[in-house]
Amino acid sequence: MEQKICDNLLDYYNELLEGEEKAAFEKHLKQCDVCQEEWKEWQELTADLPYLSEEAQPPIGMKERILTNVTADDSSLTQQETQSSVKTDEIATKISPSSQRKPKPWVQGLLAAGLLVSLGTNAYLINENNKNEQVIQEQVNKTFKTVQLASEETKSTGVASMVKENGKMNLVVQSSNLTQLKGTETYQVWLIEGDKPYRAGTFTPDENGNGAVVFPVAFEGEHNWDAVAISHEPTSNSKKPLGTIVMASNL
Amino acid sequence: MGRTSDNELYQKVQEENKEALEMLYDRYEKLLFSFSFKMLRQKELAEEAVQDVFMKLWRKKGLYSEDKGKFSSWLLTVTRNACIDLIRKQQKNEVEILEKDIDYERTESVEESVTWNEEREGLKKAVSSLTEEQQDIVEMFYFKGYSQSDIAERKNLPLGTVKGRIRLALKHLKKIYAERRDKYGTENL
Repeated sequence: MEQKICDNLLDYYNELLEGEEKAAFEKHLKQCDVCQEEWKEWQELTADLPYLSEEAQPPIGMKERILTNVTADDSSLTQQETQSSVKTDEIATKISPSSQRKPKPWVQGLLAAGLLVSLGTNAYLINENNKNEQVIQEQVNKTFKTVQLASEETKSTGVASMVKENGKMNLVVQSSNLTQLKGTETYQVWLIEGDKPYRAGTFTPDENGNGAVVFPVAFEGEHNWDAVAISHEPTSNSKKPLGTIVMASNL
Repeated sequence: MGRTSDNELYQKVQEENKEALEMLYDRYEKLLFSFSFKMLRQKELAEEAVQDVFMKLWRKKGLYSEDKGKFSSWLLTVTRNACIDLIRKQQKNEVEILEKDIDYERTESVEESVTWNEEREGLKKAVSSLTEEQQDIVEMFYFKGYSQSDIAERKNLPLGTVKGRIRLALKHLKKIYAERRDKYGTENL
């Protein structure tokens, strides 16, 4: 019996034990010299392994995001966390039954990062952007879909619409309060289908952080877009999103 | 001289000193992010893991003390656990991570991490002296957080032999690496 408990050491190390099993092992570890010895040994044997990781470039703005979130007022943060987790569940369930396709790591990752906007922010946006909304509607009678975009991190907001004109699909993106770009940085707009982001186009906002652009959507074949996202890229050459998603919304 | 030690910074973080938090962050951002990215293979998730780690440092008092060993080793363990948590959440959501879709973006910034690069080169050489099976086992156990029974199944091994094999591989790795380090005198981090 004792031997059996000792056998759990590695699974405990890999955080695989839960509840009672975990508590029982922790109690055992305190009493069992062999396990304590072995625990120390595993710590030593694995201590260097993290340094095997290749250097990866953190996304633009990660430091500000993390430090702001970490030091944010406890109460407001709890709220934010709840909202984003609710949102994730909501979308996860929304996506899966509607299509039998593979899961969407890219979108999921994006959601996991809690970058999607709360519904509250959206409602606020609609009021704020009332004038802009009207302008868009005058231009486009055959709007397929319109979604609001906003950012949790900054004041950036936007509207994305899929518009059909003379049989051709266009993506209209209008955004405001975007963070100013430096050097070669650009904003890129992505259409996401399944786990694959398609690059719709690049734009740079004006000095007030506002930008409105129309991209023809001319990817070969049939597409069923799941989401639209705007990312902050180090250069305009990114074929896949390398930078941070600043705004996103499900279509 | 003049470099505040990790322990001193941690103590200040305990007193909610934001500057100290930022200094610790700057010191470890790249290592923790790179390690998380290796484990999670997605930038957004890796960022989440790093955030979880700093959240713990800031919010939970008294997590670290010197009897837990070197601060950096402890921090890396916390990071690994945060990654494992996220891996499990992912598995629960049945989200597959398609490795082919991942950008393996690398930047070799010379000045920032010479020591780490040397460390990595040494370790990689040591890893390449392991058999392919040993390499797989280390990857599955340490970087993917698999259970012993999962490893047994995937590698078609009797369950009772898994632990011994991981240990053997890690010991071999440690030995080769230590020999190399003695020979070339790479300073430990």
